[in-house]
This record gives sequence, C-alpha cells and structure tokens, in this order.
Amino acid sequence: MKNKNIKVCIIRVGGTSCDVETARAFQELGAQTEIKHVNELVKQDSLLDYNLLVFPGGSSFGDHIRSGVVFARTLYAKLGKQIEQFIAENRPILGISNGFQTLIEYGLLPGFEGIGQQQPQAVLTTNNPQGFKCQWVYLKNENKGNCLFTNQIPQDKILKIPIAHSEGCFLFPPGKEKSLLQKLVDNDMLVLRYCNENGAFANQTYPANPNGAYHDIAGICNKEGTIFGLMPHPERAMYWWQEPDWTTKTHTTPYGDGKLIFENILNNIILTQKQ
Amino acid sequence: MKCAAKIEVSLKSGHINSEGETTVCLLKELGYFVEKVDVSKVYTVIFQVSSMAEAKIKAEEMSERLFANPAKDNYAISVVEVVDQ
Repeated sequence: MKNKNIKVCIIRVGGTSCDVETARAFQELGAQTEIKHVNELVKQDSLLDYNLLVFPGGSSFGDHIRSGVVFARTLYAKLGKQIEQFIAENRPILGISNGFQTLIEYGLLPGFEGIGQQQPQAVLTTNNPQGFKCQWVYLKNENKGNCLFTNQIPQDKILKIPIAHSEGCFLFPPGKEKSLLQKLVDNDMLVLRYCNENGAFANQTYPANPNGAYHDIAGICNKEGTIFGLMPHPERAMYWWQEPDWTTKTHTTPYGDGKLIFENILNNIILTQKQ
Repeated sequence: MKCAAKIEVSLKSGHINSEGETTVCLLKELGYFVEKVDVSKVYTVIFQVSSMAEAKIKAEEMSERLFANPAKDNYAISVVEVVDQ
C-alpha cells in the first residue's frame, strides 16, 4: 500500500474552518483526501470506506453550549454506530483543536472506560490567562511509542507548531487530577506537552504553556494509540513558508514540523495494511 | 403532560469565570463597587412526559449528556408542569 491508496475523510459541519488546510497537508503527502459534511456521510453510509478520520479545527456549531459538545453529540447521534465500528477496527482518528475538544466531549479521549462512555472525563476550558491565543508554541513528544501519530518522532525532538484558541486549557475533574494523570502515563496516553524552545517543560507558566493546561498537556491519545487529539494546528506548520521566521531563516527542508504528524500516521496505516 | 425543566449550569469553584470578571470590571466603571459576579446558564426545556418523576430523570440525563461537563460544571434542576392557557 502507498499513500495514494490511503483514504482520509475530514468531517465538516457548520463552523469548522481548518478543513481545507488539513486536506492540503494530506494531499501534499499523496493521500486521497475528501472533505465531507456529516450529513453526506449519513446519506452515503460510507464511513468505513476510509482509513483515517479527521475532526478539524474551527468553532463547530458556533461553540454553543461548550466548545465541541454539539459536534460530538451530532456525531454520536448520526454516525455513532459507524464510528464505534471504525474504532473497533483500530482505524485512526485525529482531532485538531476544536476537533480535540470534540473528541474529549464525545468521551473518546481519554476514553479510559472505552468507546461506550458518554460522559467526558476531562475538559478543554477557558485559557488561563484568558483570551484568544494565536501564537507559536514549542512541544515535546512524551509518548513512548503507543501513539500512531507520533511514534516515529524522536522523543527529544522539539516541535514548533502554532495554536489558535481561547478554550484550550486541559483539565481533569477537581480532585482526580493526579490519579487520572497517572493513568495517562501508565497507559502511554500522554503525547505532547508544552515546553520552551530548549525543551524544558513549561510548568504551567505563560507563555510556554499558553493556556494553563494541567501538566502542560497539549495532546493525548487513547489506550490503543489510534485516537489522537491536540490543541496546536499541525496543518498550519506544514510548510516552511508558514513559519513566522520564513523571511530571515535559511530553511533546509520545504516543510515544517506539522508534517511529521501527518507523515507518521500515513506510514503507520501502510504498515498496518501490510501486516 | 407538558413540563418545563430549568437546568442551571454553573462553573465549579477554581475555574476561570471570564464573563463574570469582565462584568465586575464594567460594573466598577459604571460606579457600582461590586466584589464578584457569578455567571451561569439556564436552559429551559419544554417537553412531554407521563409524570413529573420521568421529567426529572430526563432532565438529569440531558444535563449529564449535553449541558454540563463534570470536569468543570455543576448543575441544578427544577421541574414544573406547564399548563397551556
């Protein structure tokens, strides 16, 4: 199997807005990529035609009630059975920014109790300090190899990828923080953490940690490593010319760090198909 | 029977109440020396049920499945019967 045989579906609803850039990133790497409205997928009954699902960034349904919750409940109501089968077959799902909020609100991440769970076990809430933050951040890959989206990225590699959100502060329910963090670590579900440019963790201090996220958490995966959500936007760090220093720095590669994540999952889909 | 469930969702303590903080600042600008403003959302859901007990169960389910995230929200429910005029 080659990248050109991989079918990626980016699910769109009213208010999603990063679908085109995300499609461009996968197309750059040769994958067949379609942007489908959730209602088209319901009509076609075709979710299982795809190798990879993506919930893109934006403000789905105007962020009504809570960011991501209406998208999550719409998916559950309209495509829940197909999504359940998709996950049971260990097919990967990526959620970027609002897509990550959607995965959390759906209960698919962290998903400690599996896919049947309907209540979220964490939240991506108001940034601390408050306000919409649109800036470049540094991230460290903390995963030890479980996550299918990062397992080929060296652990000491510092990634530079931008964020754009006002509700990206990852928190667990009060009083359960330590025990649930331990579960993340024990199951190798912790993936990306905010750090400074030298790789030192942010320790919940701004601006290295731009939103006050607990334990500097920027991205997590499920126990199986097949579902991955992150607040930063890798599709906005796909090419060198998207980087803020593109006019002053000499670039040795035409790509940015976001490419590593897209490339990583496509490589793993090929490997899985060969087995 | 028709009922109205009022579901009030508020932030758990320790969470940033940005709307409340902004409102405090504005009220001070307007000359009111307030200490704190708590903001909550109230959803009034009108629906048909066979009993008030069922209405409470349904409202509880709606709160847990949609309106409140237990990681950050508290919720309170009150249910009344609606009589059409």
